[in-house]
Amino acid sequence: MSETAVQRFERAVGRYSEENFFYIVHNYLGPIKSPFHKPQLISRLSGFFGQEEIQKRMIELLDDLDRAILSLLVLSDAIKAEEVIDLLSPRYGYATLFWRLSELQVRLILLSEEGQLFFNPLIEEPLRASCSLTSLFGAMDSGGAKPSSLSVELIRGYLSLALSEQRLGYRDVHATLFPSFDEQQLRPLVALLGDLLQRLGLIMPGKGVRLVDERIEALLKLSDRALHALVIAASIIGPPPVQSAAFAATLVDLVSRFESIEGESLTLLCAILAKRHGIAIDRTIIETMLTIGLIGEGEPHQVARFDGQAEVGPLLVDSDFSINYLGKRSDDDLLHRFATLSLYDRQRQWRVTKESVVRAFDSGLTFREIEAYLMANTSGSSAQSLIKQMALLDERYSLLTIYDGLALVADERVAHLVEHLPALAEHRIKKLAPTIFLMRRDSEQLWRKILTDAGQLVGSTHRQPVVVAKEEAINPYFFSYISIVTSPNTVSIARITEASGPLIDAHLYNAIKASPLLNPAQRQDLLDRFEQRLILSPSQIKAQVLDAVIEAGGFDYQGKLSLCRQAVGKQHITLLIRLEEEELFVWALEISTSSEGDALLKALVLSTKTVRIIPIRKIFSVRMLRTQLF
Amino acid sequence: MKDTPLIVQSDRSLLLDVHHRDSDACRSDLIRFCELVKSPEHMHTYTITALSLYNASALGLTVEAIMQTLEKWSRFPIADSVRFFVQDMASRWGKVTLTEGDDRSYYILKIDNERIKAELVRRPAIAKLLQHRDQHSFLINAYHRGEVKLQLIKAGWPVDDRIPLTGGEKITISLRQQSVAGKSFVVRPYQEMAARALLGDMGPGTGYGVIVMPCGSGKTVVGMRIMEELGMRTLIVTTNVAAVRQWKDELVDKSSLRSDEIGEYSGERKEVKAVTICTYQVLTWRKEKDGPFLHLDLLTEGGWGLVIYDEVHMLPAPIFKVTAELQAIHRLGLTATLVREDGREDEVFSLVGPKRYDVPWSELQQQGYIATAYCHEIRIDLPEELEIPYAIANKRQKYRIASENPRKMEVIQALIEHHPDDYILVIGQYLEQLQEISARIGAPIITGSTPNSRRDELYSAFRDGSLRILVVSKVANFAIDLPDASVAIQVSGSFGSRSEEAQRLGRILRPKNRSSFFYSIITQYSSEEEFAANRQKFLAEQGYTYEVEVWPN
Repeated sequence: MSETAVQRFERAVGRYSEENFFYIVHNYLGPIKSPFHKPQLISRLSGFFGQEEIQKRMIELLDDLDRAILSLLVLSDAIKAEEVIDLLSPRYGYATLFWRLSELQVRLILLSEEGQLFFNPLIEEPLRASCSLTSLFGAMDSGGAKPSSLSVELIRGYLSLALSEQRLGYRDVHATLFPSFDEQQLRPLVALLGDLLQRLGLIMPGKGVRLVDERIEALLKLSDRALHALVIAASIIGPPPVQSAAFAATLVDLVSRFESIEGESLTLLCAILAKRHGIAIDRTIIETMLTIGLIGEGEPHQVARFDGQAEVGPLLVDSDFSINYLGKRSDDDLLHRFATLSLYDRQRQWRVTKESVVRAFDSGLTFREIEAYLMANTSGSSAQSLIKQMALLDERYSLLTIYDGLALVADERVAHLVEHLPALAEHRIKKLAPTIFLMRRDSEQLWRKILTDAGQLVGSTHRQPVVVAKEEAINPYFFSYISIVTSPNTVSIARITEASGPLIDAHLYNAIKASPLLNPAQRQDLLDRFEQRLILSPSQIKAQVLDAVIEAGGFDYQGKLSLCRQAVGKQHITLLIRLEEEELFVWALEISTSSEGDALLKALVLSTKTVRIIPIRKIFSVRMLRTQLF
Repeated sequence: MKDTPLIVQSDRSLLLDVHHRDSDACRSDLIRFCELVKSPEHMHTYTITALSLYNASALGLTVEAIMQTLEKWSRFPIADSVRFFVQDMASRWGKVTLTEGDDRSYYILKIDNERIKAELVRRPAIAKLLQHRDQHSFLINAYHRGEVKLQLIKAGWPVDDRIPLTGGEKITISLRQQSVAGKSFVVRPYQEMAARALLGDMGPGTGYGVIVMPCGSGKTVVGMRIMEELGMRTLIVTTNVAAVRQWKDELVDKSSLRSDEIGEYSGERKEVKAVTICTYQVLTWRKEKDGPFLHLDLLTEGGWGLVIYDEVHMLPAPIFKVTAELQAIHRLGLTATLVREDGREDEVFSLVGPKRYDVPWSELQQQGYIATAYCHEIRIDLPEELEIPYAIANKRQKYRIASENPRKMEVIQALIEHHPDDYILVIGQYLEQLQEISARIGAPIITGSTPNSRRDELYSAFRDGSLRILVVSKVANFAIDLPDASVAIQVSGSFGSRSEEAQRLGRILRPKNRSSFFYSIITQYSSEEEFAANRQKFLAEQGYTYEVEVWPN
């Protein structure tokens, strides 16, 4: 038990209202004599709760609802009681949660500071150990996990197709290339990827598809888990990227600990994490998770596995120049840069074509790099023929180079063509050297076409890198997303804990029953507190009555009015008001009188956070409750 | 992950790792319900299609047996989509049956399931062929048997055709153990397997189909073996007169048939005998462009019990229609390259019959039944004086200029010098080019205009060794058997035709005691490169790798 923990405990207890403080002191320490010294009493309390036996007993007395609330606290980090009620009331009901949160504070399981709940620092460790995801979300393995849909491998394939087709959207060919997806699943996924890659600045805006290499490289280095987080984060519109990325990373981390999850639990989890990270979310989060296949359709949702496909050994280059492998390529793999996906299934199949290789050259990848990659990643001489084909293509590609100038540099053979092809005459400005020509910039597209039609392989124009500023303008937060999703703050919480009900201490119960020191009222009061799990030790068996019911009802108009008056402005006093058809927990705000002379209670209804004016005469009964809350 | 050779993909393609120790056993199991798609060097691809499942069901293979086979060999769990497809397709077999009735000019199409019946009668292409008989059956004209089967397959409800094929007039034919030429002759195991795959138990659902075997592996022998087994009047349709004569020679050499028992039905002769050999060309000949096909009746009126379509991938469109009417007789399609640039492979399967046997080329090469062939692509520059004409030409002209690149001549001569002891075919597309080559190297030439007698003379001279080099146009693309040819030099081709490339390679695949070499000479940096890449696809999928060489300037 650290000094800091004791200090935090004592500071929090010291801030309790007088009524509640003395109730707690009387309950745990027994009657006290005046004059008393409050710091001393607090110190005695911390001594009481510092006992190992007491702590063990407190843990034993936790029930399912306690554990659900405590687990929620672990996930949400810092939270107010009313927020706990908001999150959990659809499941447990307002009144139940209201009372339970109050009890947990009287039991000194939870404390509060500036409205934020926190674990009793003296027993924080065992309390956290009793928390788990199942306590809050129920069974996690009733549906069986499913393979993940979105992966870095899929992105590689998608990008290669986008480049070869120069289009981002869904096309019929996708259904053939990704046969393990059904169309209803694939169509929105492709649309989502196209949209996000543009918004994240991975694809340059404008006509055609041009990748921003540095960003693509960073994207393809992500783990599948981080990739899911990135996609979810980027699909949240509004909050700062840092927060949405942190939210998404935690969400993916936690969801992936499940094999399956009920829709209601998933909604709760999203809401808790949104609270934790201070962002607002809506239903689209779940839709995004469905689209990327993090969760499956149906109830319970199956959850994607990230158990990882081992990185593969050699690529298999076959005589038809198909390149096959199983599983996942390494982070810095080059294949997608010079080949085009032809099948994305268990076995991935890529195809090297003239167009795919020229595209690679255009993007700055050199033949030597491709050659080195193939030599390192294929077994034996299986890639020799392919390498030779590419070498010839490289040679052809290098026969003609266009620089931004616009200078055209060619080998002798092509130079002869450039010089003598009649159609090129008007586009040639000057012959700078035997094989170097200055060409007209304004007609570049035309003379490129003439050269292509003449059978030449015309690569892209070599330009100075001028796109950096433009890239930043697209989405300056991309690398913030990346850094957060790659190193998320994981929540330390067990997946499953053994559920057990509160363990009743029969000896203690019998001791209360048999104690000769107690009169019937004292015994009943003690037994009531025993029921409320406030009696942890035989030392608490003292002759006193703490829980006198303070209630007025029926025709006792003055009694009801008096209780309401006493509660006005006191947040540690909650009134339970029974009306003809409803029961309300309220805080009394003000008593006023109507023009007819009726007393009116102005009250804040806790469940709805609305203010109501309630005529005292319409109240059937009012009970004053001591609540250590909020 | 299990240590097994098969990967079952979600699109129902099956990838077989041919280097795995169990790959042969796995392949034997797969061919019962899968089709071989390609067989490159390392990873062979099979696929499960509706048709392959119907055929498997027709042969009595159950869904459970198919799934057990897949589970036994698959490295990974089988995708649900594959399970569902197998279950769904295989369960369709037998729901629609075709049987004989009292009236021989009509058959009875029985559909027990109301839902299927409702679905089928809503399709106009099917409904127009059906005549109501009772609640669960229809009458169809016997003449429409093929068409009905084709349409029902397209609709996804294959017909369990329980009508036995008709026999045709009986003939006696047996294969010799020693050929007339004095060589010992046995049907090879794979040829026997192919024949068995087609004939099955001779019951309903058997006796028709396509057999795919590499060039030079002896498809003719398979045809003869099936003829022997059936013993029925047989019509053999092949690609040209030279092939007609080759069939005839083979039949005379290796079977009990005498020359006078075999009819030749060609442009030159019109003999119809118990075994008749004709060409596609003569069957589809007509006087005028829109006139009737004057000899097509030979197919339907000849009383044949068996029709053999040699090089079935060449089946011309008019014969498709007639073949649809020939459902009552045995049909055999033979080919090495069932790839059609018009994409009508499926119709071949539907009309002639399903693919019954297919064997990877590499397998027969390993076993020595076809020659080991090395493929080379030799790239050569265009001469400088042709560069500008090439640059300003349209696409077609570009291809022609590149194909007729005069510098190819120097390569041809060098290759001929490099193979002093080989029998060499120089094959090309353009006659002027071939004639020039013929003149330059002093070798005779065969083109479409060469009289058949002259062709026979030259082919014979080449076969008997008195002629070492022969220049041929596309007339020699198919079906010409020149057993000793071991070098083929392709100087030009029909654009990107995959089957032409494979068939040309096939001319040198007859097993011999030396390796074969296939050279394709193309013009570097021209459109010929791209067409060549397309042409090579089929062979690449059969495991052949082209060694690319650049001819020095």
